[in-house]
Amino acid sequence: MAQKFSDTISGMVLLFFSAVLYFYLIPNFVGSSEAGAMSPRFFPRLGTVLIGIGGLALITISVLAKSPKSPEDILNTRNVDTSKTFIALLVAVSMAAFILLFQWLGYFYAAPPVIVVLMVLFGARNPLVILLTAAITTAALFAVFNLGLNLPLV
Amino acid sequence: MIADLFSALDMLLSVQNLIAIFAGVAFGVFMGAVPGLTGTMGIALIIPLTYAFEPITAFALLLGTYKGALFSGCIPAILINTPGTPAAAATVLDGYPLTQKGRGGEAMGMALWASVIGDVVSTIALIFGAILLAQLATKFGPPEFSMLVLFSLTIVAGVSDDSMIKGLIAAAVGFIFGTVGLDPMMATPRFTFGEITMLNGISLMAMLIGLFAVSELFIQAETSTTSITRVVVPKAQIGWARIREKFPTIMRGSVIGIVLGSIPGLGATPAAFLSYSEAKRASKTPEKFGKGSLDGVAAAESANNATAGGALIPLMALGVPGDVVTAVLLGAFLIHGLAPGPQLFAENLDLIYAIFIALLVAALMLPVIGLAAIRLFSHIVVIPRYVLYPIIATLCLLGVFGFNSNPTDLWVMLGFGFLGYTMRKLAFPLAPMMIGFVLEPIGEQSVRQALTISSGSWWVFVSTPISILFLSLTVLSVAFITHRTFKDRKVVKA
Repeated sequence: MAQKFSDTISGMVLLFFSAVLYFYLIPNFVGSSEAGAMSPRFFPRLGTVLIGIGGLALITISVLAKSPKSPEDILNTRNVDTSKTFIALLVAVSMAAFILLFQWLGYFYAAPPVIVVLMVLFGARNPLVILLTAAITTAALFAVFNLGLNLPLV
Repeated sequence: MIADLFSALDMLLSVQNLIAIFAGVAFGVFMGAVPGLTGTMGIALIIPLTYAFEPITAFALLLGTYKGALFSGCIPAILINTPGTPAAAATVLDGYPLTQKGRGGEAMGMALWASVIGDVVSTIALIFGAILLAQLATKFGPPEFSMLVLFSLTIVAGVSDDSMIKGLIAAAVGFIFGTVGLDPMMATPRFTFGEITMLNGISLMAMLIGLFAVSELFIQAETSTTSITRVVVPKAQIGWARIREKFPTIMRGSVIGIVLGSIPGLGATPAAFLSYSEAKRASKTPEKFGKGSLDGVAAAESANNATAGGALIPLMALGVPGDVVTAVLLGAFLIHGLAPGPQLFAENLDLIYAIFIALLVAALMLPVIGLAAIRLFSHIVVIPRYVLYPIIATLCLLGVFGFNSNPTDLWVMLGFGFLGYTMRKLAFPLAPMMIGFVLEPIGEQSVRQALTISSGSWWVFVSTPISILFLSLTVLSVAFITHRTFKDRKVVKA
């Protein structure tokens, strides 16, 4: 995805986000008893307006920007690489799985399987190395946080 | 003052604190030496481990990490032509050619001692600069603080990489996140959605680790390389005569580093390149630069390390972060219940002095740890990423959970990790978001207090010389940044 196109989309998303904030979230989720700068809504509104102006500026700049013409220009144009986003998403899902397992079952049921999955995602292929690293890391971090810092993990 | 100094020495000089400084420098050196890991990420990762510590122990560890990472970026830069940190890019220019000529040991020795000298000089500048600035800042009231925060927001432009617009948007989004929780004046809930855990606002720790460490994990997951580089590491050695010979270059670099470091938004990379070009301009043999000049290495490394002391001056004295790392350090101060600025100088002078002494001790430990790190580099660089990153991921999760024992924070961290990853993919800078988030509560409280004092009159913000000064600096800063942006654009077009 070309940078110019992604900037236009980002600008539109930001503009939409600022409209939702201004017209729905702030009136419904920020209480107010004063007017002007003393109102609890003043600073959220200020931030929202800045996001909206920024989004609009981003759209304008990206629309007005010249499209690359020469092959050299095309090479120099930064593209948004999404080809390996799937792996990053899997890492995010693994971390989410850790949080759920940690909440339901505790640290010792959450850490080893998730470390194994993460090691595979980061390129580990030797089962012995994977299992040993998962076991040692689980034990070492338990020692640091539970025994060293007195943080209840189970 | 003398009593505070003795109290500071008493506070700092314990085995536990000296170990903390040593461990911090060693960890920082590790983070800086491994390409892909950064000092910012190192500090973000280590903050959770510091909650159980006394503030001085925590800051000994954190500032040691900061200093260690600043130095060690030069090790891969000189040995494998890969800067460990962005600031070490200037060191590559002459460091790697020296290695190719078989003089890698000499280059490493020069980089180490130039770093140590730059570090010590900048720490001394920090001590005097911060104390003087903090004395001035005791005269600040809400209007002055409001204008100071406004001026601080111009930092956003300096840390916005290529696009100032994207930096401003990121800062505004951080600003909105900063408003979540109870309103500071009336205790009205804002964006809490009925969740009691949100009344205190978004956890700074969860945001910090999510944005800087978890997003980096996602980016690294996309890098498929699993190849391991084998490196032959020469022994770092350089004679005192050589160091004496390069002393003017080192001192020039140190001054450049301190000045550029103390200007919000500039940081170590421009300082290293400016020092390098100044050394080349002043040299009798400028043609040797870029082909393996020790002056080039000395200039870049002294300036790079001297920015640490410079960047800490506005942070310690005014509570204003000058770059990404100091923004994260400001977060660490707030997490420990300390707000850097004149009030900290008034109420905790012994802690301030203890931090300054810890910085000097860290600078003195750098040669010992630096030499060991250079020798161990061949082992450091072969740690497989499939071992490193899963450990970092688990460390992030446990660190954030450990802060409040609140599982909601883990989801917040993951959310910010994903947001940070998306922002990086779309070329939005992360640091402005962090700066907007940290400065919003301070700015909002100051503005509303000032308006309460003035019964709602906005003229209060131009009623004292200090607030007028900061307002003028803001206008000048915006004008300078706009001018520089247009100039850079013209250069690119040409």
